[in-house]
Amino acid sequence: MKVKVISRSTDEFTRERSQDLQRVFRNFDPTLRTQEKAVEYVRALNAAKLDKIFARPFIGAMDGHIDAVSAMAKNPANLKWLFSGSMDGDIRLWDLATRQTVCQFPGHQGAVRGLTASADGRVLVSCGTDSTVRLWNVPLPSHAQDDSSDNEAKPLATYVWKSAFWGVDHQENGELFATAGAQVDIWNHNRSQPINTFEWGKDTAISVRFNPGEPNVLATSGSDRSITIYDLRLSSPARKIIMQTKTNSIAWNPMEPMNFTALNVQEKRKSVFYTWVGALLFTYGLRLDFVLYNLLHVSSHAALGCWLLTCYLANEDCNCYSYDVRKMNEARCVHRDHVSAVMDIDYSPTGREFVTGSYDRTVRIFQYNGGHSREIYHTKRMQRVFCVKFSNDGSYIISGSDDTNLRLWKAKASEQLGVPEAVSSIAESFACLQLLPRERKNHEYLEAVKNRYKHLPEVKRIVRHRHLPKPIYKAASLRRIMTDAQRKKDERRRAHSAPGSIINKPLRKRRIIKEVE
Amino acid sequence: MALALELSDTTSERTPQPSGVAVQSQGDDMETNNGELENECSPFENDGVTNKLECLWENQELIEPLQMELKKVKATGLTTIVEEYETPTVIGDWKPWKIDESEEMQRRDCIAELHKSYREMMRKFDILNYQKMYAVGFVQQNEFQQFQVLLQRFIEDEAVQGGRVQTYMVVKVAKVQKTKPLPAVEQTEEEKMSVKKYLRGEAADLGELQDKKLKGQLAVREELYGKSAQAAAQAEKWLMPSEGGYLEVEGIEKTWRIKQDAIAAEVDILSLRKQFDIVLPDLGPYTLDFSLSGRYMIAAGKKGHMALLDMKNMDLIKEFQWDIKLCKSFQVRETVRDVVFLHNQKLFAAAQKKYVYMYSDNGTEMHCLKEHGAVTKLQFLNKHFLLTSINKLGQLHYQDITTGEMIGNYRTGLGRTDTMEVNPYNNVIGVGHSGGTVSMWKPTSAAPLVKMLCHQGPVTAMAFHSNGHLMATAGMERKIKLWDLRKFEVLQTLPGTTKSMQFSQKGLLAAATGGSFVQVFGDLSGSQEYSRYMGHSIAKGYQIRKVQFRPYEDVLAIGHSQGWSSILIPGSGEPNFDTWVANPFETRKQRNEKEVRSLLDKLPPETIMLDPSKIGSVKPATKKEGPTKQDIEAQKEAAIEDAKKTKLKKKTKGRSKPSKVTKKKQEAIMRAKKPFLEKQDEKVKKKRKRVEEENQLPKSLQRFARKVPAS
Repeated sequence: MKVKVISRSTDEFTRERSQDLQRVFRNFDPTLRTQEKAVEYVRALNAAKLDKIFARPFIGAMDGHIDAVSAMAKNPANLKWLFSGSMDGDIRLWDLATRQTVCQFPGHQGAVRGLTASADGRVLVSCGTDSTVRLWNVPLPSHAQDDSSDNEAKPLATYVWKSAFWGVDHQENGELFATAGAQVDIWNHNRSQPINTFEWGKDTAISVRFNPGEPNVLATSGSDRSITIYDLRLSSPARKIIMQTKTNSIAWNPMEPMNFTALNVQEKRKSVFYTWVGALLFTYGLRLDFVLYNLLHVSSHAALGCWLLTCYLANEDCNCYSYDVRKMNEARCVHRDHVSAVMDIDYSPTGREFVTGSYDRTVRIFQYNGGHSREIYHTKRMQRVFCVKFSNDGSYIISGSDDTNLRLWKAKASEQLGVPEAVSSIAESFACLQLLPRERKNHEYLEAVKNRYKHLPEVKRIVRHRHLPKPIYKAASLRRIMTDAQRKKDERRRAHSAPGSIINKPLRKRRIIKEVE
Repeated sequence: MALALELSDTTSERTPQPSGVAVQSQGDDMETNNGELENECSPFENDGVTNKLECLWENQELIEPLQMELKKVKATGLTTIVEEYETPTVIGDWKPWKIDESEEMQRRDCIAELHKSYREMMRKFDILNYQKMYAVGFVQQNEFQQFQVLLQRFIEDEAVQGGRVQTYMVVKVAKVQKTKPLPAVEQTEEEKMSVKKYLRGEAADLGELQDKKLKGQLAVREELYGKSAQAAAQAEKWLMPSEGGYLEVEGIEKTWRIKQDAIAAEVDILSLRKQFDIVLPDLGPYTLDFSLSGRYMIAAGKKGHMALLDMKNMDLIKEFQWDIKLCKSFQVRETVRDVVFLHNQKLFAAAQKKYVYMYSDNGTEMHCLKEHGAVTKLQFLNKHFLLTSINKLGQLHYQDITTGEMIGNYRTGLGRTDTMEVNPYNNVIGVGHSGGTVSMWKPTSAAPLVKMLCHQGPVTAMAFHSNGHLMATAGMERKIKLWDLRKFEVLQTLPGTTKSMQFSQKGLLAAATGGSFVQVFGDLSGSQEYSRYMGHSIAKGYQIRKVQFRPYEDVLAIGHSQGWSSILIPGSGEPNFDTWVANPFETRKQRNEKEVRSLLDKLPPETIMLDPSKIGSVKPATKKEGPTKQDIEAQKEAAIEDAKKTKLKKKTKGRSKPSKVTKKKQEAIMRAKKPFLEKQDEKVKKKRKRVEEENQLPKSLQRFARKVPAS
């Protein structure tokens, strides 16, 4: 006879000393944990609720400008520094960690329209309605903190040109920058005159963005409702589409360098927005130059097979349109939710989502392929949002609005920022916020169960729910009524017409009037 | 790492003695070397040969005894590893490993290969572990050289395994040999079974899906499930700290003939403490309940004695006694019919003469639950925090103990009963009635989910298996039946009458048969065929009231009229507990944390249903599809063909004239066609009617026409 019975000595299953961690034993047998699915569902529900409780996205406002914030630029060399320009010609450099001005760049006579920093973050380029382009030396981080009294910088160079500027963008890796105005000018740091000038028609270009993947490609939007793609290696613009409404701003997807998004302004408010036309940003990813060159000029279709290229555009009909540059006759995705004109757009460095600022006083975050926004941010005091930026680490959002303030938001509203380690200054603590591994794992687990049960009605309801300001809620429902009515009307019109006489154009094509090569 | 550390610790004590001499054997050649000298030579250095020769002469007096001892080792037969390759030459003093870049790179490649087969690695590790134990034994016997040999082998294996001990040991490997890729591991049947257990059912059939994107997503998900099941199976195989109990017999021995005394003679002293009888003749018979982790037990005598015990330390935590001399608050001078632990041992509920009471572990009466009435049986659903009771009137009550809300109050309408059990798989309550029926209940419906006639007489006891598919019921007509709850069919009928039954965690079924005899049935063949496994009889005349397996232990507790007994049933309990599910070694802090956690995860009563895996799944489409046009047409054709083929009787008097025959045939065909034509007519008429109605209005106004419901 052989007998064995379970026998556990306490020493083996408990800690030896009181300083030790408690010992943990696992047994993954499903019969020990019955009703797993129900438990997971309850956890998902609780996680969704907790997310709502902890959704406190607003971190703080940066106060200093005395007029509306009209332009912003990230510093590629420094995570916590941000440039902002205002309508009175004031340019400031902000430290996001302390939320204070590091230094000012006085000089512009009129509104600052465009701001951009060079690839190494040492030179700031600004342009404005006073027809000047100014180059500034950005102080070093150590230098900036030392002499707080003398925090006004002098321009490196001032180039006066023929007409007012509406936007500027610097090459991601290169020496050139482009300005948008009566024409598109390409500048070098060392020349007082543009090295190249592009023109297509007589209308003003209102925003410009370099593609960060291919330094020679840039996109502009114009007041003639066009979006134009340029190649610096050619003497003339490459391609253009004309839409029903004007495009305020463009952004390139950093991970899919052929995709961009644009925002449109509502026609009836054109006079108001004319001055507020935003920016177009192309970001980088793969080796774009060869392919883009192919697709734009050589048209060797075989080479294009695996490339995806979209531009994201902020548009005046409250929608954003994502385009594939190879296929400009239809948008890849229409991002709807704003109830007023979208003013500015910026991509997260991951390329998976983008942030938009709108004239309806809200900031929204969209998935790169999502038709509706994931998140909406608003405060009572925030007025029309003219510029938005994703921080370089993708975890913060900065918005600049009519009420002269910049606002700092979390990109994920309920994200736990963690406990600062024992550090001397606040600035350091900002960088050192991190979660304990166990906390992080717990967050990951909750995220996973939430994702698993997101289709169940209760979880879905809680996750989707957002409190909206009354005007926006009303405007949204009004828009819904209007679009429904329009759709119904179209259906009836089609029913009463001869078959085939009325063509139903999909929403993705509806706003595009024509494509010009 | 821990292993390596231990090794280095033990060796560092010994190093001064033979002055760091390493011995290495290859065939019959033996070399020794001075460790200090060798330290100066870098690994892979070949010109150390001359030094070696000098060293040989220097340490001659040391070497000779070493050689002798090594020969002895060989003679006694050390477990050998076949050494095909050239082994490392020397070990120096213990100090951090100097990592050579090129060597490291090669190792990484090896690691990549090795990680493919975790099992092989673990097997090796086991061998090493064994060798280590062997080695430690040698160290204790003062045979350090032998230990060195073993260590050498260990390190050689290290070279194969990658730098597991790199920070603790110096190894000078003469030549890094290329490891052969390990053969792909074939899964045994047992492993496949355990993987299947963790897969929790069949994979989704993706073949039918139209949506490519969804298909891709689901394929990724399924792959992940597969991987996690594999990982869990591996963890089960290698990382579980304890093995289950067993009872094996040889020859003509039978397991059911083995007495507790015989078991007591074989087991260790810790287990011996779990065999005992408590004789309390005055206030019985006793009923028992264990806390979830099996650490605490509560015993309640029918005449008002209650005791809360810590079974690990064998401590009496609290006792309520019908003793007038004691303080009044300690008494329960009432009948106690049943007692259950609530979510932890700090609270328990007792069904007394008129009401249900809740007590804390220090004997304070926390609540009196009057709504339940005179309860005969209590159960607690620990995930839902529902206290369930059935009273003398046959009413079933569900009360949420966190909010005090009465979730459900249902009349079973089948009379008084004291047979009520919880199905642990789905938390459905099963109630056995005097009419022989078993009904199953959930808190959100007033009608039973299932009502099955199980016995011809009253149901006296029932039990649910922890996998939820097996139910045992016992009736007055001396039958114990095992039911498959997926098909609601009898699997097996055993003879015997019992007042109390229970399934253990590992699936053994204990039944108190014949008053003072406990029989344990086991599914020994693994085919759901229960047969005698063990038996235990207590003194004649003792009436058993309750049998209860202790969770996570091989122990069966028996409450009877003269106290309670505890016996050993090997192989009944789950050997490995999960700290996050039920921890027998729980500290106070852990208990408090768990309470909060379990309250956060408290399930709503709606989650109790017959198939709990339905939660989060999609309801299949219920729309029935009628026969298609082609089907109808085919039926019609077939009917006509049949009509054509029918042969007419030969009739006289001119009634079988060809003209008559053709006419009759035509009539038969028309008759066959008729039902189909009628159906078609109906359809056409309906359509015409609808069209007519619509046509009364001009097209632009038709959308305002009232929709007529289809008749």
